[in-house]
Amino acid sequence: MPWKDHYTTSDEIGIRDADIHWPNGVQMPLGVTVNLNPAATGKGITAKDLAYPTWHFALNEGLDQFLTLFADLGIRATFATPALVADAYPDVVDRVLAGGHEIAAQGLIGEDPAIHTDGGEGAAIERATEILSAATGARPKGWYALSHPDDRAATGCATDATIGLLRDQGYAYFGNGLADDAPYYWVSDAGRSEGLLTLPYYYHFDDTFFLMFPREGTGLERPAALLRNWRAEVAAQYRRGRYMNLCVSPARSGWGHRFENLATMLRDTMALPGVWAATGAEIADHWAKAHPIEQTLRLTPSIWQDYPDSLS
Amino acid sequence: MTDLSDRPRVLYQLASPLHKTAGPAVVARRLEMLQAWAPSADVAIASPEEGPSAIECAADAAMVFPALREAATQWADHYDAVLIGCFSDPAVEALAEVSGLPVIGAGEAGILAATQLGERFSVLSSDPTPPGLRRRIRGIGVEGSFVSEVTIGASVADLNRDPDTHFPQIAAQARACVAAGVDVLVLGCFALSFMPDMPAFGRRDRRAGGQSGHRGPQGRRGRRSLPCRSAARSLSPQRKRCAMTQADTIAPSPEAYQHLIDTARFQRTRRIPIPDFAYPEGVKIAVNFTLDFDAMLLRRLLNEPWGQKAKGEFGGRVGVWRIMEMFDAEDVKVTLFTPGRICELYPDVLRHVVANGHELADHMWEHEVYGDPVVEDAHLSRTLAALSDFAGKPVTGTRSSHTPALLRDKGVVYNSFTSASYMPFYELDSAGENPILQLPFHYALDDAMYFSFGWLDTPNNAQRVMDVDEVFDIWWAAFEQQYKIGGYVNFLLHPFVSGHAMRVDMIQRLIQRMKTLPGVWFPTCDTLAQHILSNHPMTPSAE
Repeated sequence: MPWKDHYTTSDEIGIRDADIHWPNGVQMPLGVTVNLNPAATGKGITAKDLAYPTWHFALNEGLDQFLTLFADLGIRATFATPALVADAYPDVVDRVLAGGHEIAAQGLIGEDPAIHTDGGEGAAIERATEILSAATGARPKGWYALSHPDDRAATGCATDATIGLLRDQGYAYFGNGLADDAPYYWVSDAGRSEGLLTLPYYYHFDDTFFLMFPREGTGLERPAALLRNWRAEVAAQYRRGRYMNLCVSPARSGWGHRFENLATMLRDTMALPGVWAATGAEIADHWAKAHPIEQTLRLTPSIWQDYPDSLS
Repeated sequence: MTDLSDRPRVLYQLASPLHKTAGPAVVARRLEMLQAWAPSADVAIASPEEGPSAIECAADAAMVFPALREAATQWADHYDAVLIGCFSDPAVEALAEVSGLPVIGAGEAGILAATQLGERFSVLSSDPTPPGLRRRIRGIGVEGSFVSEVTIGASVADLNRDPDTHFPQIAAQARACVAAGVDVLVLGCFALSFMPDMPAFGRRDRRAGGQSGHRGPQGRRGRRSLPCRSAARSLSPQRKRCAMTQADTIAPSPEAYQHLIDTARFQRTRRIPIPDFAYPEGVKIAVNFTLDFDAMLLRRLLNEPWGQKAKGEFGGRVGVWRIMEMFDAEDVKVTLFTPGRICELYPDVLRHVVANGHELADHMWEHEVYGDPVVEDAHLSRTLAALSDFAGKPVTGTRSSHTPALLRDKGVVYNSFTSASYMPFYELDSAGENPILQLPFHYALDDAMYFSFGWLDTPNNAQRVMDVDEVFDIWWAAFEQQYKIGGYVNFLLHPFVSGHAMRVDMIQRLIQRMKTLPGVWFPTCDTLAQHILSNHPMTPSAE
């Protein structure tokens, strides 16, 4: 094993709380990710997903509720958007952009990139980027591959090639990082110390896993548990001055009593001094300047030894 | 001698013209093997004149029906049933319709047989192979037991032409599946089933599995390889009826019943409580916080996607530092059950925790105990050596299913791997020998069970997505109950789970609340074990 291939995506030790630099006056950034992917599985959006009543709700009342709340509280959010969704609903793009929010990419049809075999992943990223650029008037800066309800892992998706391809295509950040709860660099080429800035994501703050998971009608409904997790993490991360990300969908958290939970939590959080509710692109831009990869990424040389009786 | 007229007449119908692509000798050898496997049946073999050269994609599979349609209209004149010689089960329903006979798809039959033989199966497929296996398995209704489809890097033609060259590679893939927790292997291509060495490999593998008697929470019992031919052998109508009559299969013979009685009595004697157990003066309860510091090793062993590995990686680069900082702030000493490989992945933090007075103990080499005793010995020796280097002294504990005799031989004096009692106790091995001190943990005190998605391969609709407040209440209740009786608790935490900020806070709250009561002792497992071994040794009478 030349470095820590097959094991790690980043360097050995995460940044300490005390070493983190946020803009002046900021105690904790709040990254609100809005998941605009209706796909139930990693295969991506199907006609059935698009016909789903709660997706209709998401595009209308759910989204309106989100945008009104964000405007009231001064939150700029990141909308992780499959190219197809941006292409199909120009009004949604207009409403989101008018609110000062970011539209980031989430695949061509909200798919797991692993479905693109034989080198097709790069072409899919390129096509999604083109469609999103045309729909929004600017190239997307961030790329997300969030969890689908039927995924066997609650992590979102990345292949061996994803990070390198995104970096090559000019993306500024990847939005599905589980290796840290502060922004960090996901290594794409250890030999050259290259990587892509990655923003934290954790499924315990994603409404996918709490509101009718894995599917409506029979799924687990635990709105109070989700709210308690959000609150506990905000308290801990605020004290540490680190970072807080949560991930919500207007199809789920836009609805009635669940929306009240989201609104309550966001109101309480925004009432704390020094909370910076910014888009992924803004947070990434700050981090790349305050903690550039050249100064931050410390790849310890591998001391790994291979043995015939164990995995390399 | 069996009356010939009673023998079922079974046709093994090849789906591609094997006599042309591989030669008549290969076809003849297959017939010979089939006849040996099913001596009570009259087995014939037929190789079509037309059809795809092999079934390697969906289009190949679709070409099978046109190639066999005409022949199928005559099958009923000669046979009682037909087995289609392709794992993809091409055209099975259409051929049954045309022929009026039971036409068996060996793929489905093999998959169903796999679910009877074990709990988790993988399919080894030739490469390329038609798409859609998971969808088929979902249709059969056994997706929950299906772990993976693994291609073996050789095409059907390769396997027919030169089986010996490819055998080691196939065996390696098979062993990797077993290492990943699979207990039945289904051969997803008939060219594999008819490889000369394959039946022997299946038997060897069973024996290897049988040797590893001790299996813990991640453990498995025997491992089986299931060539498709097993399915062929269970096809006769009589056998089918038997399988549906459960009484035939579950009522034990008198010998088997007695064996169960003997086992029940023996197992009862394996756990030996410690009489008059007493903590040091002034201690009412010992609380062990133990960290299974495996980070992404299990995810890597199971070859899971990057997101899963990154979830584990959090434990190494963030979680372990953060939770240890909290333990140090609270002056609580803990034990880190650490796989040997972690010494190469995260050496800095191991030096740091040792300097702060915490204990390192064994948690296997790469988070798996293998059945081969030579490998087991090598892995344990290597892990103990690596950890002792950091600790600056011998390692005395483990959390593993390692063989007790081997553990004792290497100087390991305690294990923390069971929940057979509230209190520490001595446990004998499966031969009633080699007692080892157990410091019991309980799954209700295991963070991953509450917080880690897909833990122990649970399906999505069985997830527990608990929040910290709920678990705080559960854990406080567990502690309080044991505190009242002067008992023991052992919390099993994973840095990749409990190292998340909100959980570190929760555990700190728990510790602070425990400290409001008198007599709560937070030793390392080794400290507790040494107290017990000195004051309550395993007595000859108990032994």
